[in-house]
Amino acid sequence: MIVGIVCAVLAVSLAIAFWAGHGRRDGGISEFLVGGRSFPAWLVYFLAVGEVYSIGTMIGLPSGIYAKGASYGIWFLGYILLAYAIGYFVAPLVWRAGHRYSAMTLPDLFRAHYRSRTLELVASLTMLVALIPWGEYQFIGLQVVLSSLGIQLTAVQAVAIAGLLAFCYIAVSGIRSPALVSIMKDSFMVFGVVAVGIATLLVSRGAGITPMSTPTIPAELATIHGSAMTFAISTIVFQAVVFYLALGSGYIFPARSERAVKSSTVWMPLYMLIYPFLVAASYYALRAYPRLANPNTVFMVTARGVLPSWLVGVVAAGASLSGLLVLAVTALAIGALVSRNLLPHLEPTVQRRWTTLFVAVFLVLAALMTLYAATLMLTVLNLFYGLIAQVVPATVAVLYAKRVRPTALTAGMIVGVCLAVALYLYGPAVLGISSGLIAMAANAAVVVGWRLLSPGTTRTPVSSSDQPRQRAVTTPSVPTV
Amino acid sequence: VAILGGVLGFGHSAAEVLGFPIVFFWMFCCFPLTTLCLWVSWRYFDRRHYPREGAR
Repeated sequence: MIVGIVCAVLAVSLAIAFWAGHGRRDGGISEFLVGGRSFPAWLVYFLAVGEVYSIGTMIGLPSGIYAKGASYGIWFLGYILLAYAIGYFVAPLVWRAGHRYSAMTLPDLFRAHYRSRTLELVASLTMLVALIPWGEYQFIGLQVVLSSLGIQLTAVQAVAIAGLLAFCYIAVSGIRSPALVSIMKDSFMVFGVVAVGIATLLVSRGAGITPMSTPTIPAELATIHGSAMTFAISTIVFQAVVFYLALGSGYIFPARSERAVKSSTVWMPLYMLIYPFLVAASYYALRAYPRLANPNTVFMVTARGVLPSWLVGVVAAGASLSGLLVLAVTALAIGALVSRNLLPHLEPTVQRRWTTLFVAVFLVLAALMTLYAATLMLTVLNLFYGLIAQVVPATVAVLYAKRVRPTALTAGMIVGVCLAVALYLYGPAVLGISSGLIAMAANAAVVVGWRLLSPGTTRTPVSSSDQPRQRAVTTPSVPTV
Repeated sequence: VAILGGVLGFGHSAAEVLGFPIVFFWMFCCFPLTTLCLWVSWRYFDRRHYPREGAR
C-alpha cells in the first residue's frame, strides 16, 4: 500500500508538471528559468517554501537532533526564521537588481553590474561546486525515503529513479513545473509531518510521559552548552545572511514585482509551525529507537512505528516530493549557470537546450556522489552553506556599494572558497564557530581591505534606485544579454 | 534579538514547557511573533510604497 500511494502521488505530480508546461514549450530561456518574471505573490510563496523546506526538513532535521542534540535543531529553526526577517528587507532589492540587469542567475548580475567576465566565471564555479553537495543532500534523503518503502531497491536504483523524476519536472517546462508541484508537495508534507508528530505525542501520552522528559534521553541532547552554543548562534547568523543573498535568486527572480516578493515573505514564518511536530517526533525516536545504525532513517523509522501503512505512504510521498522538487530546482540552477555563465557566447535561443542537457549531467554527478560519498545529511548541508556563502559579499556590493573593484570581489571569493574547503576537510572547529562564517568573514575582509587601498570607479548600487518597484514589468522572453 | 537572545537565555536550561525543552518552546513562539511583526511592518508602513501591479 505504501508503494502504491507514493507511486500515485508521484504520477499526479508529473501530470501537474506536464500541465504546467502546456503551451509554454517555446517560451525561451526567460520563461524556462524565471517564468518570464510573472509569478504572483502566492506562487512566489509556494515556490519559496517549496525550495526552503526541502527533504532536510523531514529527514535531515530529525537526524540532526537524534545524532547531535538540541543545538542542531535550534540552528536549523533559528536560521530559517531569522532569514525571513532579513529577507523582508533585502529580497525586494535582489529582485530589483535582477530586473535592472535582466538577470536569471547571480553571476548574470555580477557580470552586468561590474562588467567583469572573470568575476562572473569565479562566481559561477563557486556556485557550481556548492550546489553539487546540495544535490547530494537531496539524493541522500530520497534514498532514505525510497529505501524505507519496504520494497527491494538498491541504492543505484533509488537514486536513478529520483534523478529521472527530477529531470522530468524540469525538462517539460523549467521553473514553472516545480512552482506548481510545490502546492501539492506542501499539502502532503504538512499533513505527513503533523500526522507523525501527533501520533508520537499520543503514544507518549499513552505511556504517561512527555516527549522529552525521560531518563533515557541524556541532558546534553536537550540543552545547549559551551562550543555547541557558539556553533548554534554563529550558524544561525551566518546561514540567515546567506539564505536570501546567495540562495534566494531562484525564487525571487520569477516574481512579477517587488511587492510580490515582499508581501509573500510576511507569511513564510507561519509555515514553520510544522516544526513542533518534527521536534516531538525526533525526541520520541531518541527514546523509542535509541540505537539506529543510520541516523538519517530516524524519521521514516518513527513514521513506520506509529502510523498505519496508508499514512506512512502519505508521509513518504511528501518527503519524496520535497526532495525531488529541490533537486529539480537545483539542477535547473546548475544548468543555467553552465549555459549562461560558464559557456561563452551561447545564443539565448539555444540556451534552453543546453540548460536541459546540463540538468541531466548534474543529476548524474550528484547521484554518483551520493552512492560513493554518503554522509550525515546536516554535515553535507554545512559544506554547501560554506561554499555558497562566498558569493554573499559580491551580492551585498551590487546592492549597497558605490565603489568596489570586481578584482577585489573575485579575490575575496577565491580566498573564501579555499578556506571553506580547508576548514571542512582539515580544520578543527575554531571555538565552535561555524566554519562557513569564518570563510565568509575572510572573504569580506579581503574585499574591504582592497576597497580601502584601491576603491575603483563609482557605480550606482541597486539600493539607490527605486524605479522598478513602481510598476510590474514582464521581461521579454529572449533576454538582451 | 528575540531569536538569538532566546537561544542564549534558554539554551542552558533543562526546564520544559508543554513537554518541550524551553529553548525549543521559545523558538516555536517566535514563529507567529515574527509573522505578526512583519505583517504590522507591511500593513502600516511599507505597503503604500509598493503599488499593486499595473497601478500607476
